Amino acid sequence: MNKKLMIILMIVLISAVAGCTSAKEETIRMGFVPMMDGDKLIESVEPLAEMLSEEIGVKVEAFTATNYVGVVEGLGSGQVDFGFIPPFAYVLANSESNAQVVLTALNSSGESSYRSQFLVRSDSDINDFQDIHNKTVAFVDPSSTSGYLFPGAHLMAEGVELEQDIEYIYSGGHDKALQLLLNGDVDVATTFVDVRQRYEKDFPNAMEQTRVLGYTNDIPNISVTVKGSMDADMQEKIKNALLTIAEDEEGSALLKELFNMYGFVEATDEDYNIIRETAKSMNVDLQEAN
Amino acid sequence: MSHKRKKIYIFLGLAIFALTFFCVMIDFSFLRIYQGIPSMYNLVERMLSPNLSYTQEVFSKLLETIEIAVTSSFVGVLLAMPFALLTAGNITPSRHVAMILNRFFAFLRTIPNLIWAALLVSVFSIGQFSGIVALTITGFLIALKLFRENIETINENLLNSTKSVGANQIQVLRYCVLPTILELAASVFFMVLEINIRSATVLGLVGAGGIGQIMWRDLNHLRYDNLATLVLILLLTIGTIDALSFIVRRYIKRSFILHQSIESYKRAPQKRILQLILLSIVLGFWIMNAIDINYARLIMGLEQGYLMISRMIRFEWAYVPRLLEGIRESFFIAIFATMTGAIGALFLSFFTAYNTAPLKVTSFLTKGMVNLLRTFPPIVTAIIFFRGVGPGPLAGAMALSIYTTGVLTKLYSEVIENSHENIKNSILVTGSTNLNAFRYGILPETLPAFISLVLYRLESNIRTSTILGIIGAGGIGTILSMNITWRNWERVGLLILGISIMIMSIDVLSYYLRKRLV
Repeated sequence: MNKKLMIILMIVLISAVAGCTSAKEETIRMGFVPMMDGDKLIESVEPLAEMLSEEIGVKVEAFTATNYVGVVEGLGSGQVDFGFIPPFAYVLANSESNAQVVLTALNSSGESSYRSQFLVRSDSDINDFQDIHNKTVAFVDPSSTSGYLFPGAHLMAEGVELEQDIEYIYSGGHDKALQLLLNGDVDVATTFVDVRQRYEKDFPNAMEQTRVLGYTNDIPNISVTVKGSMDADMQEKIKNALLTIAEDEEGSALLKELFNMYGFVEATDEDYNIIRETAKSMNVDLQEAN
Repeated sequence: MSHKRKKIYIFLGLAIFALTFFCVMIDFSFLRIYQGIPSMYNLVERMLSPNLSYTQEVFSKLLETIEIAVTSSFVGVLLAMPFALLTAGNITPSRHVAMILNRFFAFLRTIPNLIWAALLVSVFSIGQFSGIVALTITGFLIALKLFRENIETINENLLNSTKSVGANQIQVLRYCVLPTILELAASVFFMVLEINIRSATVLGLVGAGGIGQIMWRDLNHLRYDNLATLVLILLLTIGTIDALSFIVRRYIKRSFILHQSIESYKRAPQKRILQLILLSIVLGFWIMNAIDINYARLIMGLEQGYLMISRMIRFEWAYVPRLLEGIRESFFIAIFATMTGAIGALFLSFFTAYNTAPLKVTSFLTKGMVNLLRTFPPIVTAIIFFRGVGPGPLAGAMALSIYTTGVLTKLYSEVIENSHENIKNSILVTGSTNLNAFRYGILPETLPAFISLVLYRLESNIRTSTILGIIGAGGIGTILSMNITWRNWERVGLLILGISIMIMSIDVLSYYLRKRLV
């Protein structure tokens, strides 16, 4: 048994050494959670991280995640310094650890918000929201802002109770919601604007076969959120660095090309109250989250 | 002694070297984990107050999941039986067919659950059907592997002696192979059922319904109190399945001495066939009930699935660099997790198996702990570690290590419990301690079984590590799930191919390693 003990001791020693030698100079960690309803497939944030490193003067380490929970928790514990996260994730991060939004990205039409839409088939007998009673609706998934929260709240405001008046399912994706609608599995699909163009290759007839029943309220775009424990000085630095990059010719080209961002606009917490209100009307209790 | 000793030292040296290497590759650091403990604890603390008023909702979803899991496990195990006969090396009608089929099924086994579900949801729409198909496929593949490996261990002498008395192929199957399969069927069924129930939590990621859906929702709303309720109920469910499996296996074992007269023995086959038919009818109805899809819709779905797959096999080769980058990290995460899990399991099993544990109480307590370790979905553990140590492969690797420790301990302690008591006793009578009986008696005896369990885990760990990427915990999962969302099937195809090639080469490597070692 001594041997086994030895082995463990050795492992401990070796890895402790390995752990200590890798102590690095000061870095900032940036998390990037692309919105599922964004316009670009974002795989690598390296180019942006490099530009930010140069601009801020501190090395920026970047990573991508497809789900925001890890990043929100990382912002809470301070392991992640700032991130590009969807609006709903910002609201969660804010209520959990007082993370602060500093910027919102602008989309190709120069707006800081987008909308989602209700799609029905062209030959459908649904002509206004009252006709949705007793029909089947495809949402995207319960954590999707544009695929559940906003459309759901919109329906409730129109007098359609989700639990009593309709049948609904979660499709797991905007593309799948569209596919379900085209296949006749559901009568209404809720997606971002405009899912039909993004997946044109997969569903070439979607434009003719479906029509838009209506739109939701404006949803804020992806947010640049810094951790709650960050000092004001660093917040300013990050904010200014991003604004400078967006002004810069090379930088703005890269933002457009890789991330489909056409600049940034300063944002405050109040801009996201619409998300809170919507979440509340949908019975998503954010306070309990703590 | 010295030669054997030397060999062992060389092996251990290599193992330590490898472990250190993988530690470096995943940025392992005690310091980081230690410093992260307060923030990790903070998250665990939020889970410590389960929201019990939530139980009712969980139960209704759980029933849905159980229905899906039972149906798919049953169909999967049933389908696996004939294929096992076809592919087992020692009884297959044609070795070439067996080889091709084995390669093919090995390839299918490497495709992560999440991918199956994502594909099937696209094809068959939402709802139970796609969940059932996804789990049937995975259940089938696992059952097939288990059946095949067990058939291959049937003694060659038994087969030959049956053949030598003039038995034809069918009779050999009937008298040599069938008893083995049937004896095994119950335990395989329960094993697959358990795996399927746990996999169902993953299916929620892609909208396939059941308990996974609410788990995913709670996670995304940071409702850790609800999540804790869910894990608790999951734990109870898996415990119940464990107990049920134990009871059923015992019942089956006993039924071999049911006959007290030659008449009843002769009548038994007819009775058994009747029972089987009745059981099939009942289950058949249940399955028909669970499957809710009409023919025209099925055809349309199949056409769309065909389009998707034909795009998938047009691999986008330009994407190879990204593939290699991601797969490298997944590979290191999986290997690290398997190695640490194996070491952990070796120690824990000693305390977990009731015949080696110093006290019955220890066995009971560690059993509970081990069950908890393996019930916690790796993705939740990964989030806890992510909170503590930040982005990068370390969080994923630690989460997977813990899960692997749990699963391996459970499987290995069962092996220990099944080992012959006289091995242990023969050493105990020399006056040695319990520990030495384990070290010199049970361990050498069960080591081959342990190694094959470890290798089986390595294979599944690579598959699981692809899921962890979605929260930013490293590996290939990030680009995989993004490309699924974007319907870039040419890239998804290439990524799956890459994962499969990696798993298969590990398979080949481990086969030779096992041959050398055992």
